[in-house]
Amino acid sequence: MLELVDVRVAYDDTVAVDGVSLTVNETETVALLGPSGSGKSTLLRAMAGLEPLASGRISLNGRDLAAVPVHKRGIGLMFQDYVLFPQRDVRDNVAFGLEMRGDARGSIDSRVDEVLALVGLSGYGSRGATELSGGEQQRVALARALAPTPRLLMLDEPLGALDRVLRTRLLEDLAAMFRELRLPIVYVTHDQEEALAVADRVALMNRGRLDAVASPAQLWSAPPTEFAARFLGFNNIGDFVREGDHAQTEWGSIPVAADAPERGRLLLRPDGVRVDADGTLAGTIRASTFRGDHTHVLVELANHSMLEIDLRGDSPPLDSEVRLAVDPARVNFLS
Amino acid sequence: MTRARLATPLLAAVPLAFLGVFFVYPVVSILALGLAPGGNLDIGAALAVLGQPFVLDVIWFTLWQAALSTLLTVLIALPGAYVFARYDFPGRRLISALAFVPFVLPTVVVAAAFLALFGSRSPFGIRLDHTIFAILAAHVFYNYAVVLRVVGGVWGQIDPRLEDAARVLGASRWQAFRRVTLPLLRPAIASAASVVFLFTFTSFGVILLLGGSQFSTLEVEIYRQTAELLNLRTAAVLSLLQMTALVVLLFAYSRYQQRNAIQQRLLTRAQVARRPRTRKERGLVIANLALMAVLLGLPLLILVERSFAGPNGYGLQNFVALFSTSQRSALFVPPIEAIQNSLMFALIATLICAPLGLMAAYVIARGQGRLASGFDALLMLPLGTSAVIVGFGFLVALGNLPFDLHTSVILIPIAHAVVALPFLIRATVPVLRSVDEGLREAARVLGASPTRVWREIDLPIVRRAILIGAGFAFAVSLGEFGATLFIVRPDAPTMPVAIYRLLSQPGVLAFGEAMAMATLLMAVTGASVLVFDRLQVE
Repeated sequence: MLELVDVRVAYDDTVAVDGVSLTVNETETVALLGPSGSGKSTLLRAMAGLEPLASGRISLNGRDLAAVPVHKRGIGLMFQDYVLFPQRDVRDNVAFGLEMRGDARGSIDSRVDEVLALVGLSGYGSRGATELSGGEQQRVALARALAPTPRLLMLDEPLGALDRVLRTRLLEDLAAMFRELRLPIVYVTHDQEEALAVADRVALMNRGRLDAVASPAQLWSAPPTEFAARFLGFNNIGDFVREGDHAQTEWGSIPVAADAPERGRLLLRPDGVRVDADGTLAGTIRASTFRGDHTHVLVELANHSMLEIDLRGDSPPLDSEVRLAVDPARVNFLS
Repeated sequence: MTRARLATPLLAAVPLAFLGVFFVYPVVSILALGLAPGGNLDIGAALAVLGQPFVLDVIWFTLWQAALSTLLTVLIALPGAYVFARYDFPGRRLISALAFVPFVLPTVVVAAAFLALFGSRSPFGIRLDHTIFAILAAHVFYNYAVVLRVVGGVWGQIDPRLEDAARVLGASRWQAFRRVTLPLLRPAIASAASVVFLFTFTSFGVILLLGGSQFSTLEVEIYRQTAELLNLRTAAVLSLLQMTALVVLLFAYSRYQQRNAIQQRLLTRAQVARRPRTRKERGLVIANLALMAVLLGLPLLILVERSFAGPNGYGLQNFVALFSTSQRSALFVPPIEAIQNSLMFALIATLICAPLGLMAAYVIARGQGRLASGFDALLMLPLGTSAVIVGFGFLVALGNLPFDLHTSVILIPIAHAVVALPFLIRATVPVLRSVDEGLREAARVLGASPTRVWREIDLPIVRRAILIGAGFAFAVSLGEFGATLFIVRPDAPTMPVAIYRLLSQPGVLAFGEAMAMATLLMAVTGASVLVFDRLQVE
């Protein structure tokens, strides 16, 4: 189990990580999600011991890591764009951690074969590290991190440099492998799709701080903060004041649960709005994009505010007038 | 045949003819003198020369002092290369430029600076002249920048996360360096070490001035056999040995470079370097800068200090004395005339060398295939000898030419041009190659005539190349010592020769004058480098 208590990392007068507390359980995969510069990679490096802590505590399986140097931490770290040793072949890359541990030659060979098979690269041992394709390099990097049986696996943007098709496939492979590994895993990414797909819990970072920690389903269905909502791609966010079972918003009056907060910020989910002749909002269709399972539609309301909605099936023609109804269950209140 | 196809052989012919007369012919003359004195091939006699105990001593000393100098330079400069590659700190660029000063200084100035530091008038009272320590210190002093630049340049492109990756995988700091970074640096270290070894193997001025009579490298021995013992035969055989050794070294070096290229993703220094963060990192940077200040700054500082110091305290007396001929002087003219001579020779050498170098560089930059690379290799031949051999060759050969150059002062700038030419070509070719073909095409598409394209795109670059080359030739000529010493006329000394003569004289006054002259030579060299640097930018 990995435990972070009030971790701060600072250098050159800038605070990269500011008071992060987080626990990663025995067999749990936590995704550190956030835009670039949010401090997630720095936090990862701090956990590995590659960045000194300004304050706070990191412990692994109950042991404080403060006095443990990088090379004694027993952590597997897969770097962004892999950082394979260019002068060594695949086998020697994977064997490096085992050599450092002082394993016997025979046991190194069998362990290398074992992890190469695990990542689907049996027989690649003598290939040069720089001759491989991006996807192959990614798997070598994973094999290299796993070979010395780490107590914690961390991955920094593991799919960042790959093309979309390959990413989708590898994402499934990784998710399946994480379930088998039964290790605490920290997965850093700026891509919300990746985070939601692989993680048991998502920790969202913003400017060095943890903005939200939640399961993928929770995070998606009820983003707790405005930053989380915007980061997940939602745009219908605005102020509201509740009066009984309706809330006054920039788009107009919408129905909400009677026990909702009095006032604040809310998110009107685009899939919670439907075209309905009895709807309370009126507007004009201004743009529509076909997205496969739904159509993303931009509506200009009577008061000239814009609203994004996702419609099942076809969109009404451009510039046609529509009335819209809001599902009160699909309104999220943000903190 | 088109005009362009005719132009290339013509351009190639001129530098070839020049090198043929002023390099190949002298070298062949040395060959003849060494292997076939009197016209008959006599290898046995040559081997007998080499078998003498003193020759074996010279060979052994040449090798071990070069090896030890190289080892020390690499060990001392390696932390500097790391600091300059990995860290950003205020003044980094300026300090990096200043660190290059010792490298461009004439060896005579280097020797004078270390005599000021360690000689009989050392302000610290440390006597290390005529010891191996002074020689080694001087060698580290002017070769430090080679390792700093070559190794630092590569180090700045290696991903620092490679070491992080190794550390996470269980390697200690030292193991991560030894197992991951060092193998990636090895070609650069080998490259820098080869260059340092080459420079110290052919070290002449430093050994002659700092070593005293008990230390002799091959270079120094060639000079002594010629000038002091008038034993041209022995000097010729030693020259042959020297040339063979250098050719073998250069060949081994290029073979190694070809074999050891490691494919890797290179970063730019900007991606790698950062401000030092922890106290340890700041300490490392500061300690290294302090070391550089002592190693590179102190000798030059003491040189300047000594040049103003006289028996009656500080003043300009040493500089004033340069204007008069003292009766004890080993120079037959007021030392100040040496400055005039040096500037004139440097100007003529530049005028000879710059056009030749440009022609050759143009052929190499534009050429492709075996012919061009053969031409390239041919023009690098003077690198495979040394300044001393060029001077010795002139002495042996040029009396036999139909036009008698033997006693002409023009020989000196010609010798300087031969010495500078390979360096100048090396500096110019990359500039000429930097013309982007896409730029030319873009200009053509935009409607520029071929003349206009040449004027707008090629001319500025050629101008730059000429200035870089000219600056190079001028600076090399100013400081040239090894070749000059063989062919200089007693009444027309250059500044380095004047410094050497003054230092060879006993007495406080001569020493002060030598320091003053060395300070002036340093200033003139620095100024000429600055002027050409300025011209390039404009």
